[in-house]
Order: sequence, then structure tokens, then C-alpha cells
Amino acid sequence: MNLLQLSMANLLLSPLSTAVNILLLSLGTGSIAILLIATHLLSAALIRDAADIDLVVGAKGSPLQLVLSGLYHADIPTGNIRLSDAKTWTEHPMVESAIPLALGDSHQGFRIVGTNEDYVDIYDGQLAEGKLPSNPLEIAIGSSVSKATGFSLGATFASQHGLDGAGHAHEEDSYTVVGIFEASDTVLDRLLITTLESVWLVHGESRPNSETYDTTQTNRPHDHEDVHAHAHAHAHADAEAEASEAMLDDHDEGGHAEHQHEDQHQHEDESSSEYDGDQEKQATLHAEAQEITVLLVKYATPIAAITLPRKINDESALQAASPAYEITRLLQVIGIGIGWLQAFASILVASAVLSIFAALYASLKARRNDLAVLRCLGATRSELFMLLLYEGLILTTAGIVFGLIAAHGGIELAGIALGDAQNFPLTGFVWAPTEFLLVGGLLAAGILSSLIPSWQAFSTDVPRTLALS
Amino acid sequence: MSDASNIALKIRGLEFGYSKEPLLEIDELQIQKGEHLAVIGPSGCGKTTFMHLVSGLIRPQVGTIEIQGCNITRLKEWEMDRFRGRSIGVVFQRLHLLSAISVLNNLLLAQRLARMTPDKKKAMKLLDRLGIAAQAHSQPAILSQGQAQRAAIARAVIHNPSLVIGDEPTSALDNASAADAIQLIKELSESVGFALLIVTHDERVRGSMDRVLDLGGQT
Repeated sequence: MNLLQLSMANLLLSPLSTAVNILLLSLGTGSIAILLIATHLLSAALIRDAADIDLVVGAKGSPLQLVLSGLYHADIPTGNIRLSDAKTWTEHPMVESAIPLALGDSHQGFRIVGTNEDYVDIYDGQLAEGKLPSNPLEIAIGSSVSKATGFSLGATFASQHGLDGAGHAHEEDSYTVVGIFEASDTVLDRLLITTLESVWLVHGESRPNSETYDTTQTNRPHDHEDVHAHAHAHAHADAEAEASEAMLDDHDEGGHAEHQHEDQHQHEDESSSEYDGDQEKQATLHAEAQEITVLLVKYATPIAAITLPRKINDESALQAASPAYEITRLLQVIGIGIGWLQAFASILVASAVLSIFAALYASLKARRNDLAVLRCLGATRSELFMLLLYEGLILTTAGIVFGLIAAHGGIELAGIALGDAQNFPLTGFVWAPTEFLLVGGLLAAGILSSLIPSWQAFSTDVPRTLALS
Repeated sequence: MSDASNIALKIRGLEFGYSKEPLLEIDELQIQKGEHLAVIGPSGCGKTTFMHLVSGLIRPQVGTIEIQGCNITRLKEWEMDRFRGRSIGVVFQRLHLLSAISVLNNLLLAQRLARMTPDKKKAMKLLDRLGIAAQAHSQPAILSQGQAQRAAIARAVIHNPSLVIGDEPTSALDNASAADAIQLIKELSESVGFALLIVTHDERVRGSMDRVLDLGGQT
């Protein structure tokens, strides 16, 4: 039996009061901890998914919406832009790299992204199995998608138009899963990655027998050429892929893209050169008319941060939005709400601390005789001070521990309940650095709440107390 | 002629008062180890004050108090607390067992505050000797008055003090329990060797002590 055990025993003498005090403090601690953990998770996810992208270029609209949809896949895109318009900026000397994304379709709530390998690289995406999509209608899926859909390699599915899962299905063009990514704890886990051309193909933009294409091919024999036309469509898509990649990935060689496109055509169908002459012209025009949703840009020079966004916004029909700026703005807006919630939770904590003070003070009055007896048994004034301080610390520590367990457990359960389709992963198995401050602050508050009762214990007038008893 | 090492309590030229007029004046008082002294006197004569002076809870304006050769009037407060824990045992009128912990833990805590290693075996042996071993793990609140008195006596002697001070320890007990308690504490005094100083109004106690100090008459 020592003083700490005696403090514990004293608290257990009034189990209801002790439990209420711990519960009050747990509620306050838990509320603040939830806010801290959620803010930490959100900030971490925003930074991670930003992947050092300096600028998101897309259609005019809300810049925040552009960033949220293009970078975080958490909002509806502002619209599409012409590939040819994007090309102007991919070749700009202030641009180090530009990754095109074509959005608009989804499967079971997970978004399909038409892009190139560079997009996978910025998230250090590693394949758990299979390969990256290289042919039309091939697709690689993120780990969360794999988990949620149960898709394995070779699985086929039709995408749905729109991002909410309520759009019509593109039944005629099924995707085939050719790769599954390892979990990366980034937005990649929740995406289905395909080529730009696949997205265009699904939307009929690259289909030779699509309506726009057919209007220029009225004399083309259809019945016996179906297989040929299909193969041609694929070859055509491939050629466009190379053309668009050449345009977007390599500034210097961008001018060769159309030559490559033509070369590809010659290899594919030399026997109908006259027919292909018209077709190539149409295809070239068609490639120029292709649309993407956003360009993810990295600056070649820091000065670009000042000039390039303004230049794009002023000199083109496109919109450039800086993720860093927009996310800071977003967090400021969220921060106001979080601030109010934290203020409310702080009131809870303050109430709990006051309640601990009241409980200790009341118990001190009831136990003055005990304190005097302890002095008679040989306890020093300092030991009486510590006895009361221990009681405050035990209550505070229990409140903190239960509050943190409730907060982390609650977030983990929420993460499990919401599943993998949410826009940022929720897990209770994280520790926000600000939680150290919370714990330190609460312990300090617990000590403060115990100081007056502890001092009164320290100052107990033993002869007087014994005489009065 | 008494052996100096055998003196448990020695008081010389003691004066104490709450105003200019001294409440207590004791020229000289010695108690040998194993000796039993009753302190008596009318209400307000300073019996409780005397007890507080001897236990070092208050200090005399003049004079010295030595316990086992240590002048406690020169000790700093924290030193006195430690000394009290080691060398003095106190039995209160209202017993004052700590209600939050069991009888056994009351004894172990007293050992801890005497800066001894808590000895559960010794505590159980003592409780057994006092006939309350079965109540060792009970909370004090459920003990009878007689059992609580025995537990309080056990706590006062568990750390082998030189001096045990009793403040009206039998005032709340019936005749049989009072006689029983006094008998027990005297037996323990003889076996452990501590001096016993009991402040009392109780004639039953007065008659069973070796000497009587009447503060009303300063005998």
C-alpha cells in the first residue's frame, strides 16, 4: 500500500462521482481527438494525393472544384477541354511535365481515369499483378477497387457514364482488367486506370463506325468489313494514343505526332490507300478534336508559379488552379467549422476539469480527518499534496485514455462502415502529432484542477482538525 | 537512577500557551520504555495540547522534548513527520482508520509511512494476536467498535514505535471493551517495549496505569 494506491482507493470510495468525472472528460477529450485525427487524416491525404502537382488545368469554372475533381477525384469535373488547347501549354517552357486525365465514367462508384503511365508514377503505383493497360479497353484497378468489386485479372465489366453510378452503362465496350495495383494509401487505390484512348473509344470519339465518323464514310462497305473495321478502330485508337502521348509527353517531338499517326495508318491498311487518305485526314482532325478533362502540370521553374497560372487564365479558354492555394483555402474554410467544434469540445473539457476540481474539493472536505491522521502516521505535507494531486491525475489520465480510445475506435469503426469508396481513407490507427498537445494540455489542466485541493491538503492544520473531530 | 538509553520520553522546562499566559508548564518528566503513564486533568487544562506537543504536531515556546534521545523541538517539520512515523504510534479517540482501505492496508500504510518495507506477515500476525485476523480484508466501516479499536491499536504499534500516545482511546467503548483494549495495549507495550502515554478522563484507565500525570494539579 502506497500513496498512489491510497489515491486510487479514495477515488473508488465514490464510484459514481469518479465515473461521471471520467465520462465528462472522456467526452471532451474524445470530441477534440476526433477533430484532430480527422484533420490530420484529411491534411495527410490532401498532401499525399497532391503528389507534388503544381497546377491543375481544366475547363473554366470553380478552381476548387477543378482541383478537387482533377487531383482528388472528390468532385464533379468542371468540364472537358480540347486536347489541342491543352497541347499549347504542355509545350510551354515553364512546364516540366503535364499528365492528361480523361474523366467522366465510373464503376460501382469508383472513378475511371484515362491517362498514361506518368500518372501511375507520381503515386509510385506498383502492380500487385498483371500489367498496365496499353491496349484499348484494358484497365488496371486500385487495391480498394479490387477489394470492393472482387475483380481479378481477366474480369470484364461495363463502365457507367457519370461519377455517381446512376448513369447509363456503356454495355457495348467492356473493359478487361489487366492489372491490379498494390495498396499505396493514395487516391490511386480508389481509381480504375485506363488509357486516354479507351475513354475516347467508350464515348464513341474514336470509333470508326460512330455517328460522326460514319457521316464521312457513307460509301464504306459495312457487312464484310466488320472485323476489319473493328481492328481498324483499335489500330486507329493506338495511333491516336501515340499521337496524343507524343503531343503531351514530349514537347520536342510533339510535331511528329501526326507523322506517327500517318505512319501507323499506312502500316495498318496499305491496300486501301485512297480510302485511307480521306480517313487519315479525318483522323488527324479527329485527334485534334479529342477532349480531356484536366492536365496535371509540374513546373519546370519556381517562377512559373507566379506567371503560368495567370498566363493560362488570361490568355486561353482554360482555367489553371493551384492545388496548394485552393487546398489552403479549403482548409481555412473547414478550419472555421473545426474551430467552432473545437471550441464546443473545449467547453466540455473545461466543464470536466471544473467537475474534477469540485469532486476533489468536496472529497477533501470530507477527508480532512484522514489527512490529519496521515500526518500523525508520518506523512509529510508534500505527501498529502501528492495524494490529492495523484487523485486529479488519475481522473484526468483515465478521462484522456478513455477519450482517446473512443475517438480512435470511433474513427476506425466509421472507416469500416463507410468502406473503401470514401474520398479519403479513415483509420483510427493513426496518431496526429497535435494529439500530443491535447494530452499535454489535458494533463496540465488536470494538475491545475488539483492544485487548490492539493494545496489545502498541504496546509492541513493537524492539531485543529484532530481537535475538531 | 534510570539508564539514559532506557528513557522513552524526557521533558524539561516545558512551557506552552496560546496567549501570554502559559497553558502548560512541566518542569521535568521522564517515561521509561515499557512504562505506562496516564495524563489526566479537567477539561481545558491542556491534555490534548500536551499530546500534540509530545507527538511534535506543535512546538513548545520554551523547553525540550526528547523521544528516545532525540530532541524533537529542534527537528524541521518534515524531519518531525518522518520521526513521528518511525518512533511514535497514535491511537485516537475516534479511531480514524482510513475508510478507503482495508484494515490490513491501514497497517501496511503505517509501515510504509514509517519508511519500513510493508510486512504483510507481521501485520497478519499482529491482527491475529488481537483477534481480528478474520477482519483483515474488511473495510473499517463494517467493523464493530471493539474490532475497530483493536485495529487502531494494531496500526499504532505495527512499526515498533518507542512511544504510543492514546487520546481518550476508551471513551467510546463499553466497560468490557475498554478493559480489553487497555489490557491488549499494555501487553503489547511489554512485548514490544514502547512507553505508553494515555490522555484520559476514564477512571478505568487511570487505575491501570503505572503513573499518573495530573495536568490540573501538575502531579
